[in-house]
Amino acid sequence: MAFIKLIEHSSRRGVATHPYPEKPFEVDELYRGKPVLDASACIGCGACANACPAETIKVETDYGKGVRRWTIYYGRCIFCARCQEVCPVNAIELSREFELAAKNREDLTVVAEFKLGSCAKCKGYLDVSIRHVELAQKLLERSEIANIMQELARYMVMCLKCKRSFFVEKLGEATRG
Amino acid sequence: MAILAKMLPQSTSVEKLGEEVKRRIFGTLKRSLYVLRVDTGSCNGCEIEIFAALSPLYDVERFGIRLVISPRHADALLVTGPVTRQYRAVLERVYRMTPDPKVVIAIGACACGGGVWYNSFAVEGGIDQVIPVDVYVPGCPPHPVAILQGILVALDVLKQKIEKVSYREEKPEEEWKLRPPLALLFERETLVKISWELYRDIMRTARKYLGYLYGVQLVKDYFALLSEVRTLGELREASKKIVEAWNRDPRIAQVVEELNKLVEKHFAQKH
Ligand code: SF4
Ligand code: SF4
Ligand code: SF4
Repeated sequence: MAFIKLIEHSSRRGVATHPYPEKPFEVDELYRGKPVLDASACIGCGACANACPAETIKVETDYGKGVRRWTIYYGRCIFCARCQEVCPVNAIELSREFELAAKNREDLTVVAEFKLGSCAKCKGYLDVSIRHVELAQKLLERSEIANIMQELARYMVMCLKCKRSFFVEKLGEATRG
Repeated sequence: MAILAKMLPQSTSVEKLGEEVKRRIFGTLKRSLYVLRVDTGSCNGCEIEIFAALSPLYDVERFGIRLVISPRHADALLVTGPVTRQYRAVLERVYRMTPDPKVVIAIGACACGGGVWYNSFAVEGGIDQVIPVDVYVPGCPPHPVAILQGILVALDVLKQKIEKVSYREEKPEEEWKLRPPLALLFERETLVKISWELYRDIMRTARKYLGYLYGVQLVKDYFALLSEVRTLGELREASKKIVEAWNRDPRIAQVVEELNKLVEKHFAQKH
């Protein structure tokens, strides 16, 4: 007769099953779902790519096209929010989106391209995006040691090669006289 | 009978969806969809969520989907894990043993692309390196509802929600904008002109005690306050409002106190 008890119990409790997909499923407020990039804020610095434990975010420099390319493949993401933690401009945040099933790999990717700046000396491509340089300049203006940093600010708009040769030149000057 | 009627699901559209599932599955198979769960070296996190999806709370079986224990009986494979080298041959065999037509659903970050082990010597790095995959369900582990959605997407009952996003910067000068809290550094006139160093120290202190989520939230609140007050005394008074807004949490009070001290120190240095 145990099942009578069961019927009684379940009639009291009603239906426990969530009526998904008829009604959307509400996850917790702090649920860590799909990381969403705000492409209009990202500077392409690559801090998130460094921090990502699954290395699913990649940031690479394409000198051929002159862009800094930010890519993510959600399939490998473990929703740890380390990218959100390290982003200096808070451009990436984890949303509450969790219904991510996709039929092919391509649908799980996001690609964002940012233009590279140009080198003040050789006019070639800089190794960082225009936005990155702009942010650095903006922050340097607000720095307490802005006057000391003036000299260094010139390096900011130089590519790696020019920076090196400039440095060696300076070093030569210093040692000669 | 009234009691029994109460126990039945109330919604009709789920019923309709069930009908749709049935029609699609029965059309090809003439019976329920049988699912085999294949674990190719997962950490068991995904298994726990699959079993949660089978529990009464989410209940995959209301769509007529059942678990079986032999590939010969299966129509769909729910594969988890990054495919360890040992398991590669087994997975291939399981795939061959499963009668056609079959659906392969990759569950979890490991199955979708190797997860955090994608470049380890001991794993193949994802199911699709070994057998063709029909549906990817990301997550580590995926939510039971996400697994449910994955299965329904595989059966073409639900539409896939996610799609590829591409962004290309055209005019770098106009398109770029700062987001808070960094934006607040440039927008507002504040009591103390917030230098980059002060911003950094405030951010660092808040995040040291509260972590990345609440820390950044508190910094946003604190900056809003800084732009309102005129003197340091006012700042002390007004900062009580923040503590008030954060449920009078003594820990928040302590952190706000630390931030106040930082600003005061900064103020003293300037004058
Ligand atoms: S850390 Fe932030 S700004 Fe840098 S590349 Fe990642 S999302 Fe963009
Ligand atoms: S949430 Fe974690 S795994 Fe996902 S992209 Fe961000 S850092 Fe990488
Ligand atoms: S995706 Fe995450 S939870 Fe699932 S098996 Fe891999 S590590 Fe475990």
